[in-house]
Amino acid sequence: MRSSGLLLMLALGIPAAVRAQAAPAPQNATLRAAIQAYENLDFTRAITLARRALSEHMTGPDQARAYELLGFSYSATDSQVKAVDAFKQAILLDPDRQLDPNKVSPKITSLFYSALGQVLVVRQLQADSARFIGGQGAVPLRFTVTSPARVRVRAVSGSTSLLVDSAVLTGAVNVRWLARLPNGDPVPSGTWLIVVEATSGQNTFSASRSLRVTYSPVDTLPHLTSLPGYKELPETEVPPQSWRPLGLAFLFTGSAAAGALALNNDGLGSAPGRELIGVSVVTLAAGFVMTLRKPAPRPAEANILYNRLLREQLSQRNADIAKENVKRRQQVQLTVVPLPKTGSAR
Amino acid sequence: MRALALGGFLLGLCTRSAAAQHATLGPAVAVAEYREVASSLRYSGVGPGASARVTWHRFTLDAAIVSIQMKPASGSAATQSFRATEIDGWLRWDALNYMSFEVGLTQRSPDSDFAAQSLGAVRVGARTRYLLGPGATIWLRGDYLAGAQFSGGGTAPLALELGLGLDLELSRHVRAQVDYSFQRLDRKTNPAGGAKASVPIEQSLARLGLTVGL
Repeated sequence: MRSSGLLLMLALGIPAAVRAQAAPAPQNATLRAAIQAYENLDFTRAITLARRALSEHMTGPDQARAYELLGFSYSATDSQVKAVDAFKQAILLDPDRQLDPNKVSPKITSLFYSALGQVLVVRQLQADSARFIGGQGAVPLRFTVTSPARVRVRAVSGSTSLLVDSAVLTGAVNVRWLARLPNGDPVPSGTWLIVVEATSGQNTFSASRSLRVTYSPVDTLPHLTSLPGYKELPETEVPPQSWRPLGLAFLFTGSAAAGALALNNDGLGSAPGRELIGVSVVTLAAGFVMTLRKPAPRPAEANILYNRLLREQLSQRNADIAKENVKRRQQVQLTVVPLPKTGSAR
Repeated sequence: MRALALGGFLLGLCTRSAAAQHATLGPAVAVAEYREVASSLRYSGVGPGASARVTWHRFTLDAAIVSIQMKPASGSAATQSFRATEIDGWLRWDALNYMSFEVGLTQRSPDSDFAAQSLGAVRVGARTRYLLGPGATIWLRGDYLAGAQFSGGGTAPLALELGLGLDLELSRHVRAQVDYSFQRLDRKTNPAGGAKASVPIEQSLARLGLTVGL
């Protein structure tokens, strides 16, 4: 008998699951005794004590635990219909209640999910923290509807109620709240309540989640001093050393000498040469020295053009940034943070 | 008197240079050879001078004055020395980096009208230049001397001037300028109303100057 009880315990994994699901200890003494009986594998007594506890005054969480204990106990005694009914009550009292599949036997888990499919609840309503410019972002909302139902999601603050979404849904649902008023303005800062109402026939269920919306100024963009990945090129370049200066000096002095000879009036005698020779010697000497010296930097037209285009681009980007900043100064950044969860069943 | 006028002009350039982009001014020394009428009438001489330059955007105004004591050259039939004062001006417009067009004036006045002809003419021409190296620019110019006027009368339908020069930047504010010019004027006179007589004039002049940037 003892060995069969242990086998049953191993098969169901119940006591550990009950402990795992049941922390902290319930306030109701009868419920505590029921749990103790369950852990002692006295399922009949556990059922009796759990039912007695439910007839007593208990807190909501204790009631949910009592029904869950009933579900576990009925599962252990193969009363599946009663187990499902008990789980349904537990889910209605605590819609977010979950069973850990690693600690609870598949048999109990399947009965739990069977109960879940037979009730209409909105579970695990979650809102992510978000920060965005008013009108340009949204707050992600997630929840699960256990049965097909008309679902209305509203955002409520004071007398303001904004419809976020309305559709027939079931299963995991993702909704985005744009945090905008009907006129397009961002919602006022303060506490907002996201209310999810599910309706299917006579059954209705609602869950809510509080969010804190705060305003802050939108960060402006800094002006650019350079374009990332681009840098200006030197606008002058030093040509390679060559004999060109001396060649040019020869060309110029030769042209002057040839011109003077050609212009010379023969009637006045031979062309005067002293002055030309003197200047030519100086010029050729300068050409020779310049040939030996490092050439003078000269404008690099391609680089100048490139730099001009770069500056135009930079100027254009800064003009765009200035326009964007003007716009941003007229905008507001919303920071949305979820507050501790609240929920209620109807 | 004319020298004083040019001095005043140069001083005016100096005072206005603050508003100009670049202005330079400095002394010069010139050597010249002057020939007139025939190969036997030749003079040569040396003399002091000055030059100035104002640059504004693509425009450059050059002015120069030299006063040369001309003496009869060896082998010349001339017997009388004279002092020739030459004033030159150029207004240049840089059409390209290496090409400019220029107009200007030249005025050469001997202190003795009997020794040599005075000359006044308008220059019209072009100049090409090239940067030899850091701070060194070589140039070559050709000008037509239009409307040449002479103290002894006559005209010069063919009046040309050729120039070669070098500008050297010795330091940030000091430049050296060396230039050569050769003038040929085919002067024709008709003193008695008869056949025209050919009285050609040629001058070659070399100038070395130092200028200081203002």
